[in-house]
Amino acid sequence: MTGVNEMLTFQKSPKSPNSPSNESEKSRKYDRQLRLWGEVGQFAIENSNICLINATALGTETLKSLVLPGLGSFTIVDNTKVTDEDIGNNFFLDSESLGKSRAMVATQLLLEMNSDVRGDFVEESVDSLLQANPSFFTNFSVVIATNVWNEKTVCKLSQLLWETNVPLLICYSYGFIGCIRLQIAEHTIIESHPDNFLEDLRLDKPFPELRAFFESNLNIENQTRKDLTHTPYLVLLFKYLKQWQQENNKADDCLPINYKEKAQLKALIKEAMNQFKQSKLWHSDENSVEKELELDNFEEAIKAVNTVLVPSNFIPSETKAILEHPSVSEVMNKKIKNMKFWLLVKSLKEFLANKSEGCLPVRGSLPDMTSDSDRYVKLQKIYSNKAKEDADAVQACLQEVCGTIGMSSEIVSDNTLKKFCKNAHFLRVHETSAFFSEFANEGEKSHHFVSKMRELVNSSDFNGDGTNDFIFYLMIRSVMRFVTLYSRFPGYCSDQVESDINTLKSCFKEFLSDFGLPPLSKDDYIHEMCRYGGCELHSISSFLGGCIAHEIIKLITSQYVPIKNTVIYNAMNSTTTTFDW
Amino acid sequence: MSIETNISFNNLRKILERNGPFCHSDFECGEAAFATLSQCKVLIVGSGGLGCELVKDLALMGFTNLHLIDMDVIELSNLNRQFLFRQKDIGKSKAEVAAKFINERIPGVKVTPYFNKIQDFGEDFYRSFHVIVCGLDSIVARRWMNGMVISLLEYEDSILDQSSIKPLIDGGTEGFKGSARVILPGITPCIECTLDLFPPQVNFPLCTIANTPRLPEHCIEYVRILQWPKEKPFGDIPLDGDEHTHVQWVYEKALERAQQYGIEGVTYRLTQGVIKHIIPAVASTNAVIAAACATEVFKLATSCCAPMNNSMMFNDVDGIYSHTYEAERNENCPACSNTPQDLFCSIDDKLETIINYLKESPKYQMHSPGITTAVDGKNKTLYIQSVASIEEKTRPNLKKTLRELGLENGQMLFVADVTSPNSFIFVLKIGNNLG
Repeated sequence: MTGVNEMLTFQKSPKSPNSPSNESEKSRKYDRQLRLWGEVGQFAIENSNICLINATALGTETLKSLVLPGLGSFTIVDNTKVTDEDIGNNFFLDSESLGKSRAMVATQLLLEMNSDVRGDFVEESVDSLLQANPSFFTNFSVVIATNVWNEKTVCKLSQLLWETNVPLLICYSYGFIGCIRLQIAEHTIIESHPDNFLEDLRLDKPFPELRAFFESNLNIENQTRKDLTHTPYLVLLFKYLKQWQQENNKADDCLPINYKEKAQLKALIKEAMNQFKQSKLWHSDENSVEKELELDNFEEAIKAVNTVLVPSNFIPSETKAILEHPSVSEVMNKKIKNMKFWLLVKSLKEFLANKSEGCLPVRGSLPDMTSDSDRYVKLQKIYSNKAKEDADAVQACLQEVCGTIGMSSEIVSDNTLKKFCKNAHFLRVHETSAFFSEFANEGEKSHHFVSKMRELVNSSDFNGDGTNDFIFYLMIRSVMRFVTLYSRFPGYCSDQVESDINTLKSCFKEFLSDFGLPPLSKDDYIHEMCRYGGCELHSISSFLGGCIAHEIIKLITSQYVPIKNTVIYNAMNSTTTTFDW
Repeated sequence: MSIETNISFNNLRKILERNGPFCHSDFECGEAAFATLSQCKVLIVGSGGLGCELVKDLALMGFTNLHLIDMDVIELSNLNRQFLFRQKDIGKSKAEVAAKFINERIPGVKVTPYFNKIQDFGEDFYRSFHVIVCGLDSIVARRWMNGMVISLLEYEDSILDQSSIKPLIDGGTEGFKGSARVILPGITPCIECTLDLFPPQVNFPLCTIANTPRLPEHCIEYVRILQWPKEKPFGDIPLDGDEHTHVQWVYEKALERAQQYGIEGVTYRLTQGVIKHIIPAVASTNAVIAAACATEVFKLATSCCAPMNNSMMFNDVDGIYSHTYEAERNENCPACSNTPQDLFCSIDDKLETIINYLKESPKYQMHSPGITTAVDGKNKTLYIQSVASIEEKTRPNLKKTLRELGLENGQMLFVADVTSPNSFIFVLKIGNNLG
């Protein structure tokens, strides 16, 4: 057996011991990223192993942005020797390395950057590894294939990793064009870290402790200027919401939904604010410090009408779809992918049905607002206690679910459960199509992919001036066809550019006719591909490498949301476009 | 160009020696286009997360005459992304270590380091470059560089001399977000044209910090601003965010205060973050933004493609998102419009009010403006903060009104600030509300 048995190990430095001083040094070294993905994310990164196929500039630039943040280990698969062209665009191949193993030199120079990281290399071709030892690839956290142009090779790899649910990134850097394709059967995300989100403050149906707090704070009419200006805007919103409901004969849990109703509520708050400003109490002689205090909290309340009045039973569409996902019932038959996640979803579903009248667990966080210390901290405690109470109820559901299938609920840690409840509004399940299905024979192609292709081609004006970077996906596919047929790049040699244009054109025509589409009349894109002649430009690869590295971090930390599923980078226009099929 | 090494630039040659249907109309493919790369003198400002990437990217895109300026030394927390630095380099000059690394790794490339502040150099220095790329984390430094390239512009009969234009490519990152822009001074929008893109720094009101704290940050700021100068725990020295014992002291005191109020969330990491205004940073975003900037330098130097017009935002939290758009020039820009600014005010406004306006207005966002004027052909200093003796002498002016200072409608004020190497000229328009 070849492959793993004969695998050369370049360097296996033992992980640094976990002495306290070492830990704090590490914590300082990784400080700027720990502020983003936290200790848990860092732990996941330090315990993952990545496989890179081909130590191209694209490949080493990707690994660079993984080695620096402290990746556990990487393995490079590459059976080629360093050429002078490689040295010209790859930072991790130095001028001494001509003729040496590309995998070896790249591994060595990448490891110089961070002694926490381990790296291995295998001097074999992907094809022979796939042939002799396919399980080699299935032991990695993520596999990334750079500039693998042969259709058969990439399909075989894609099929193998699809069936074993190992995430695969297939990436190309070609002239001014880049392409990143993610393939993953199922990826579950608890912490998606959305940039924008709706607050979860339950003003329509305050739970008893929250209602009690509001009611004991409603009497603001006789407050001193100091107390009034420091009343949290949530209290004001609640107070005037009640007034709005009464004046408009609305039910006790009704929120203003349209522009007109929201404007009514805003007007009520504005009016109250003006009245306060004219009141005697407002102008009664107080010390000069207090005279400077303004009703910022009323302004905040007016703004918040648009952002915090969310129905308590609101469930975002992504979470809704997850609750209806087939895996929720399949989890009861055990042994499915991402078991812990689906157990939690099943428990959440039970919680919604039986314990919370359809409201997701309270998130427990309070946005910042003008307030005195006492009332803000009290409010914060009220929300966080309720979040804890809801998490306990979900925990009870989990015990029941696990009991039914004869499992221990300890499989899910308390921390994971808490995090899951806190992020119930932001859950994501990421499923892409299989890459190899894009290459299936006519009739076997997925219906979705075929119709998406037709739609994209028909809606694009490739023959005119309208630009749609989807054309570059078609071009990459045509180049793959060309390389598969002729084992070289179109336009690689200067004297063949003209003749290759015609050959590439027929590859493209063939590709289109597979989808029942007519050929394009304009040759500009074909010409441009032949002009590139397979060249890889460093800054294009560096841009893509940064993007790919972060996609890998998303996959191994289960934080943030990966691409779905193809991204085209057009460096001529400095644009990226995402396509999903 | 001939370098006696094993490097082949065949990849670049394909792009530069062949014409294509999408090339810029000015592009002349051939050996000359390739030779341009070694003739082009590029200045990289900042040798941090972006700068390390930029110098590598440009060297491997065929540029051989690179200059790198940075006043900082290497710290441990740089190593998660500034890949040209190692543990053993901590404390050394960023520019010098980065330059040495590239010079040794890539034969034929010469990186010249400057262990300096950008303000150490004047117009002649900056004029000697063909292109300037900024990879800075400081907005003040960015604005200063912007002011510098604008001051290099030459006008004849108010027609801009094209040869005086120094393209400025500016990159910035914060966490998983980044931006890149191409500035052709005097032609496309400059940093000051779109200053409102930078949100003013969050400062908590002193009364909140002192009387009604509600966030862990309020407790940390209380210790930093009020307790440190009062208690002088380590003698009469300023608080150093890199000194563990200092941060630890602030952390413990802030924790004490937080407990008094029942506030949760004061940690050592947060304490240091607040003291040092730390911006989170990862290797990947820096790689992306630096590469986008380097590609633009390549386009400008070779004319092989039209440069980006003119800005790009990037964010890869949810998928890979980028938005390329044409920012618009501010026809009344204080920096690049080449015309004095109207300052609408009342004769009874105090000088202090005017100064606060210059600091707080989103359009100007100055830090410590100093104002001079001319009376009867003589220069008169109204207020300058930067020199202690002058500050003391001119401080009484702050409380005086324009009338008391003898200023008139149409009078010119010259305003200097750290955000620009040049003073701005304002014309008083008296009889209005401040604006």
